[in-house]
Amino acid sequence: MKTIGKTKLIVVALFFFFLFNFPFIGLIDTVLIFGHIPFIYIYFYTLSLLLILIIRYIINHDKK
Amino acid sequence: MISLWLIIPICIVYLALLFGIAYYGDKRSTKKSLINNHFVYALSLTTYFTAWSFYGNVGKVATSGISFITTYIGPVILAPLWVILFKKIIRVCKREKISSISDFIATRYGKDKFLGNLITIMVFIFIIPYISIQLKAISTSFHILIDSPVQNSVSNKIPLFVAIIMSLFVILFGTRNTRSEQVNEGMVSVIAFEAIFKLIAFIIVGVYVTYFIFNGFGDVFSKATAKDILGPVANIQDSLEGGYWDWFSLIILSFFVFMLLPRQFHLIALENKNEEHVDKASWVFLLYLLAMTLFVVPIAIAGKLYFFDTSFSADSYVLRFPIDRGNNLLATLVFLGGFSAATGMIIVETIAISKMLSDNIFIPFILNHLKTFSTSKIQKVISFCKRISIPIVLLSAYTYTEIIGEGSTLVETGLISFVGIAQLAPSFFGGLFWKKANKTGTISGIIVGFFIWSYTLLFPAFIQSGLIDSLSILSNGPFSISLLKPYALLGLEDLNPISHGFFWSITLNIFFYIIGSVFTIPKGIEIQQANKFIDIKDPNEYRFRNRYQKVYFYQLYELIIKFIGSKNTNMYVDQYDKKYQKKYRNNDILEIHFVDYMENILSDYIGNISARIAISKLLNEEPLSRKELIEILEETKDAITHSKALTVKSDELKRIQKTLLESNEKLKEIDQIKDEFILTISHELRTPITSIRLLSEMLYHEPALYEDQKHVFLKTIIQESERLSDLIDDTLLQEKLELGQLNWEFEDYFVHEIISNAVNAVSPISKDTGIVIRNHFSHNNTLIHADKTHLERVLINIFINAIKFYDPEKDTHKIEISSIIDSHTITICIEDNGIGIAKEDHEKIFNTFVQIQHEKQKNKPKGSGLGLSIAKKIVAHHKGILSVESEINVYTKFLITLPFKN
Repeated sequence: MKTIGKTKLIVVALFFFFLFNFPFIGLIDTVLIFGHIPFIYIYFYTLSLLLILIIRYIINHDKK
Repeated sequence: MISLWLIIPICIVYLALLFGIAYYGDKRSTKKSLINNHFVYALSLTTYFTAWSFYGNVGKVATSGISFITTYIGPVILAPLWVILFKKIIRVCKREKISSISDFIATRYGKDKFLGNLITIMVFIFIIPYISIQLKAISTSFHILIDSPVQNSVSNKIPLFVAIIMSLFVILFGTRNTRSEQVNEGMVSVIAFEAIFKLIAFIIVGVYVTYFIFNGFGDVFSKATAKDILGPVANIQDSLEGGYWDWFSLIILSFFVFMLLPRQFHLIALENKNEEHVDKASWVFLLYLLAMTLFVVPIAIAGKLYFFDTSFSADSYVLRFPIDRGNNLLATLVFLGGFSAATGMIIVETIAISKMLSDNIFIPFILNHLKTFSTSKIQKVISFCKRISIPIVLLSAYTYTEIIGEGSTLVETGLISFVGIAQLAPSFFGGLFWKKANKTGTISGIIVGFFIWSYTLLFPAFIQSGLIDSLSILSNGPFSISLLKPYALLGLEDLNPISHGFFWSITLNIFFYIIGSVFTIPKGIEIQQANKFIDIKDPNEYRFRNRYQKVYFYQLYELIIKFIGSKNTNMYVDQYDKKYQKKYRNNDILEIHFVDYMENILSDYIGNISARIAISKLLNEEPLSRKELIEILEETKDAITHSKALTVKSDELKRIQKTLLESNEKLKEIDQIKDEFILTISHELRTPITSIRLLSEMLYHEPALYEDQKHVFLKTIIQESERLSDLIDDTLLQEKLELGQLNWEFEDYFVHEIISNAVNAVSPISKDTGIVIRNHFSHNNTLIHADKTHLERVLINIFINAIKFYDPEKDTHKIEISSIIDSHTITICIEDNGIGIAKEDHEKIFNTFVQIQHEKQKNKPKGSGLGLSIAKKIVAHHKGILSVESEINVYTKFLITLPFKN
């Protein structure tokens, strides 16, 4: 598999995993953390930042 | 409350500051650009936070709970894809000289004029209410600030004043660049400034409410829990009518519109200075998003607690807090924060929509209605079209605010616009990744989506605002057909109206887009454009043009001059000449490549659709019949097949060429070895022959020599003759080995017998030189299948080398023979304590005619330099390995590993 294909595949897989696992959040709904921030919000932020790091790593790795 | 006559000068000063920043930003563009970094790029994209976000988010949380977050989770999910998606879009836009999102879609689907017009009109309809709610937000916040519910002749006209000033700003700083490729640096600087300003204002008011009016987050939430008003904030199900389906559809919706809103697309793709900014901007934007939404929930809850006995709109809580506490400075800051959010959005949205109007409707209209391009004022007309479309957009938004806008809330209007914009998603994303997608599919999908959007969202909104008096349609459906109820189409109930409208419009849009694309044949130019957009690395693979007349250089030149002036035209013609080494004269007939090049240049100034119309008119292109189209497609298919065959052939030729080059290199290497061989062998032969000749001559001419001398001379002659003979033998042996002509007599032998024979052969020499050979070989019954003579030669060669290279500085000189055995092989180890071999020479010693000279040796060692090379080959012929381990001045160990017979 070419590297670019692999990147796309990983991105799409993670993206859909990320997007479609939202019903599981329903088990805990939106518990407020740190007094006021909805948990669900932090959950999406953290995953998104993590995904940015992963994708940038893969792309930089491909360049090398 | 703040006096009207104080707030107006403050607004004027603030607007003057914006003009100043824009002016400075433009001025710096030629030196050190203010906007050429990823922070500014990330900040510019925060026009996503409009006045709707600034005031409306708090209102949304206060009235319906946590669901406001969906609007931001969409962009959060999108952020990781920026680096892939945005970069591709930026590249396409730069290469295709795209000027707006409608231009992007129309260019992708064959530079189609109708599609460009359709999208422009639709986007205009979707966005005007959205701009109007920004004007409304400014007006409302202004009235709250001056505490003037009564219609005041001055304050009532605030939206109009804002519209006029914004028009002026956009004309001055948004249309300065005639080319779409150039970035409006002043305008982007202002957007970045406003992004910081609105963030600071919102955080300050958040801290003020949470920590100064209340005693921190704990206080706000404990009081809210005591009053039992946290339900919809703490639970998604409670905050949305349709529960998780609403949650999901609103996330998808915001995911789409973050890219598709005209202003977002404009800033993402057209105002990007460097595509590398996308990498870092993705996480900078996320942090901004987090900071901007941090205090939304606390302010909303605090507002519900604080203003529980008032009838204030929840949208105004952000501003009401400082006003109620008499903090006029903070109230002004918050007002300006909201003002920034609104004006930032208005500026970019107006530029984007006005560009669409001028490039897709006004300029093509003028071009189509001019029979010739005789007018010398065409540049002025185009410039006028670009400028007039700006007040048209803003005054339309103002009119909407005056007539309709009063009846709806910020969030409702915003979300209806969002669903409308989302109708572009299938054609936009499909156009980037699906080659088969074509114009028919796009047009049918968009029209169906637009119709469903109008029926399920716009029409009910008109009914609810009282513009249409048919409330019964909402409850019973038209003609009392319940399946056609606008809020429960085909019986889909229990969703909120936005999710419902979004579901039906986008589903049917996608369905018709796919069906239309799969079952219709695209035009040639659609295939060309699809290739350009999807395979961005290879844009010029296929070129399609309808049948056209011959065009002379002067005709095209005169046309282009009218649009971009003679100076620019000459510059581009010269650039073409330099790049492609092709210079045209006035009466030269043009090749289509040059025509395409100039069309691309023209697109940069007047948009793709207008450029295509202008060039097509000149070429007098005729539309293709279906038959001609099929013929072209067949030809293309043949061409592709032929091209593929050629590619295969070319690859084959490349492979053969590579093999030939390798063989050539090998031959050169062999030739060099041969030369070295001849040189070395001549030298090696000459040395003994010379000494034999000299000594023989002396013996012949000097009969009076003493017997002793004669004896020494004759001994030397014999030794040199032996050396000569050895050299010749070795050379012949080497040659036979190389050619595979050596006779081998393989039989089974005990290893220890071969070793003993070799030791016996060299014992006299070793004794003479004082070297002790110790044979520790212990595997006496080990049989090997070998050529005894040749293998003995190998061992003798190694022993003689050990004797030859003994270390004179050591007291004892020894050679030790040992063995190692494993399941299949036996290794004979011959170790001496001689001068050793440097590590870098371990490989070299097995090459032909190589003799390593140690620093302790005064003369070059005797020998042909062939011994170890031959030995290695002989061992290899026995399916064994000859290797060496050594440390300089310490030891040398030769290892002969051979397979043995069980």
